[in-house]
Amino acid sequence: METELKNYSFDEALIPRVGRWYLAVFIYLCMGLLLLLLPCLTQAEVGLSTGTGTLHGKVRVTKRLISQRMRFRLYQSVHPQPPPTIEEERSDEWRNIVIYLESKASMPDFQESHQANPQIIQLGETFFPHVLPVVKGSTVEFLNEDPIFHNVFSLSRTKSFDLGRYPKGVSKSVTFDKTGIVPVFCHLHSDMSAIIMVLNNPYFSVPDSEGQYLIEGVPPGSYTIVAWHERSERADLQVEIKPGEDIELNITVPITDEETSEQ
Amino acid sequence: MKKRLSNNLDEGRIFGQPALWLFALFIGLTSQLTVAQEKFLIEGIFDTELYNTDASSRLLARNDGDISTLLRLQLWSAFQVSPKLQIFAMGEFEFDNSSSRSETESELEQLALRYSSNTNPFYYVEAGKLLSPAGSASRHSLSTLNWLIGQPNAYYISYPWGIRVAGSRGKLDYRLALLDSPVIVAQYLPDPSAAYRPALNFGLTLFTGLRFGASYTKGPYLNRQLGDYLLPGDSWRDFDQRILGFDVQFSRGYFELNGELIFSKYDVPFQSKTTDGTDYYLEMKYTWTPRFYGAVRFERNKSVFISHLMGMSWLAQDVEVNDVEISLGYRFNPNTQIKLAYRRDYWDGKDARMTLFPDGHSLAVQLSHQFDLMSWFVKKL
Repeated sequence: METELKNYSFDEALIPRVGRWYLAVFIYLCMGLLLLLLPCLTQAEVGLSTGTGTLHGKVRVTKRLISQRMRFRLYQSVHPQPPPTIEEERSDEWRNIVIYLESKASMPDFQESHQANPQIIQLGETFFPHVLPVVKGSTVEFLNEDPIFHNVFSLSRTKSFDLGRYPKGVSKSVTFDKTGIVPVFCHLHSDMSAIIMVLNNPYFSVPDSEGQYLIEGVPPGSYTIVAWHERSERADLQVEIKPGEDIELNITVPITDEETSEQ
Repeated sequence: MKKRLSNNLDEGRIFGQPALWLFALFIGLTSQLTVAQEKFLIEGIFDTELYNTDASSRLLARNDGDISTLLRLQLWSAFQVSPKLQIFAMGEFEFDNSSSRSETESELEQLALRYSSNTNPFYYVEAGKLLSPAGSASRHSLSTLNWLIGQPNAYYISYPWGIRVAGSRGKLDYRLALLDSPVIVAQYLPDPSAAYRPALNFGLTLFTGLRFGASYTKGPYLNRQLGDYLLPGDSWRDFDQRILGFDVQFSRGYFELNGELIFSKYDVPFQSKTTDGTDYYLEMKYTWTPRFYGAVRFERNKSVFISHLMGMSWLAQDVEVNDVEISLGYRFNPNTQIKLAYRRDYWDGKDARMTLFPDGHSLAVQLSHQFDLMSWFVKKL
């Protein structure tokens, strides 16, 4: 009797010999599934169990920060489109600011767009919006709404492309798979320009028409908050996000020394 | 290798070095008045060209066939008086070491007031020294807009004084002008005196990317000094130039095409018949990659040559030439590009005078850089 017991290990005693292979396959499958779901579970944990933080506030823009340049062409188009007035553009200057977070800690790889169909429209021989932040991996649609041709292109190292000439109602798309700044132009209208900011996380915001910005769902941690404008030197503030915390942070662009010292 | 044209004899006295001072003063004053880029701009293009040509072609030869260079700076400035009103000026400085013109030249090319409507349909009115609205070649004469290095032979760029109204309504567009100078080919016609004439240009855009245009102008082309060599009772103003032109632009995707056809008629002193010319060109461009493109232009001219010889003797004849240019372009960035072009001309005619017009060729490299001068001084906040 004793001898017979020695011939069986513990698991052999519990599991029939035929089922051992099934168990091994099942374990491997579970481990694979766990590896696949780990990033999602990590985020879910950050977002649900420990809570995320929110950043919001009002952006104040220095009057000198107008990105609108005088529109002048030596040779007008055959079918020139009326440009938006400077007054309209001035009120939209907030839209040319991007508030975004940077973290020294490693963050998940956000390889999908968190925006619904990021788009740049060509209207009135102008790109709208002038500044578009997207997450790395996003596909941006360039829609022509003018009754004339446009030819969108960029020679940026981050992304080089030329969409050729296409008419009203037609859109073409480009996927941005590297982080960086991509200046976009039109071959036919040299004063048309836009900037696409390709960021590595979705924690960014463009202020609304009243200058309010909101960044939600930020995982707890230490961040650098950057207020970016094409005519502003980079300046940033340090901010600590705690679970469930809603931080109000008003920002002047360019960021002033006072704001820097407050932090 | 842009060909320069003095629009008329009177103008030559006005625009020499004083024009430069006027332009500099304009830039200096306005830059003191405003620094905001939303009200004021100074932009320009700097071109460096290198040529290796044959030694004898009338059209293409430079520096007796030795390598020659050309440096050109074009500067333009505009000031926005109000959202609808702009004043602008454009000047050119050129250093050319080809044997015929080894010198530095400067010229005030444009100085005008522009009123732009903010309505739809859009229109604008310009008054002053303007780019001639005749034809469409001059509209892409800047090196950054020109697909090749050379310009069409029969379409010399001119900057007459006058007033122009332009705009569009639906598929139609128009440019109506009253100008003081004819459209001429320098050295083929006498330098003209100022005399106002209409210039009309209408276009029909069948669909986005395909436009047909037609233009017409009629007016005197001689100068008042030549009035001494006409029949008693005749005036230099009685001898007209009539130009009827047609043009087409087509583009789709990465392909672009421009073409023009011009019929010209000239009244010639002591001749009962007009002397006629016919010129046309077709140019195409294809963009292979965001940086790399190629272009070709074929041109055929039956150009009118009219000259006062002596006394009551006048010469009127036509000269025929075929010209082809092919180029490759590469963009370093949105503002800087380089072009390499080969050009060849073939002169028609079997008679003896054609020995005076040997065929020629040219190999050229052009580096162009467009800049925004204001951005150099506007620091980030």
